[in-house]
Amino acid sequence: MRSQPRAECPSRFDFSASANSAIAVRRVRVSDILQVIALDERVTGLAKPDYWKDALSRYGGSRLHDRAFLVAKRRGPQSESTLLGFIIGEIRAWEFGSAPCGWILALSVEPRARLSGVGQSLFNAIATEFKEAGVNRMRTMVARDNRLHLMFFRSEGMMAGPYLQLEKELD
Amino acid sequence: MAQRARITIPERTGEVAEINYGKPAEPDYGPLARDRVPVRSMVDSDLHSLIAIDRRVTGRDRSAYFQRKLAEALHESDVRVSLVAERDGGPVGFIMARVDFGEFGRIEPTAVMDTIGVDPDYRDRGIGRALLSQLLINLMTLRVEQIRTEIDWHDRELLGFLDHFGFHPSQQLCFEHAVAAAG
Repeated sequence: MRSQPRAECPSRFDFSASANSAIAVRRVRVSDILQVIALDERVTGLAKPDYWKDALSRYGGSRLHDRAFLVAKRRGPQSESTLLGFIIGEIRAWEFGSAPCGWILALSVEPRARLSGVGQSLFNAIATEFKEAGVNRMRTMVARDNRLHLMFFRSEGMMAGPYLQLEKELD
Repeated sequence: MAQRARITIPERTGEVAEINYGKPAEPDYGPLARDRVPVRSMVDSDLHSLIAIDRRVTGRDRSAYFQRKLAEALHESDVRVSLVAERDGGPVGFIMARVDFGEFGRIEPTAVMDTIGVDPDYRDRGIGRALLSQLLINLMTLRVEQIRTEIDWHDRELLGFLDHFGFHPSQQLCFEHAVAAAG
């Protein structure tokens, strides 16, 4: 695992090169959160400002050596204008004895910017974050009926993993 | 060619509400286990006990992990739900959970359970049952509607334990990728 917290050094994703050169990926900033909330509302049909502010403080403001909240913007003079997508991930280690692994917890891409490499840039950026932190696998959970995410993660080479999500209703 | 025998479905001969004595017992979060084993909320000073129990269970020193998890459970979470079981004057088991505000596209208030450990000397004495049953009772009191966890398919012992408590597979699929090959 990385010895120094990421917060103490500049992020390598501050508008650094990504898979698609027109797209810049960097860590989230407080000023991005309104666009994150708006994008999520457009995609899901639900406005969840408190949820995303919590996510900003949790994944964008603490333990940055094993958490990543990345945003994609268009590279160039207008690069700060429009959010193209975001991805959130966290390294989880030793839950129920499992070896450290990076988990992708959220991914969203602006509908009008789809099929232009935004999701792939975010995916590659967070994979690099995980790799730099010293883990060699990443995982995610996708709802069975979420065809968009299923197709995306499969197209990025993700395969069925050995984990089961178990749940129990409390009533 | 011989004519195939037709399948016949037996007619119902009893009431649907008839007691089914062959039905598996309901999950026990009744009084037995947790009344026999004192269970209390986890506190900062439990750290060394948790590390020691885990070292005996896994054979690894995971101090850093437990420091992080304890800080997360006690200081990052709005609601403290992690528990410790005591016997013979000290901690002999623990369960760590948090009330989560949602991930993997879900936004319902959900409890996430991610670690449970019982001192090997106290196995098969209902410690794990006491911890989990108390956790479920506490979460219901907090009006949390669901608890979930992610476990390795190969961990059959844990699978059986959680199955007994009424956990079932969710509608989420796990995908994974070797990081070295990505990007």
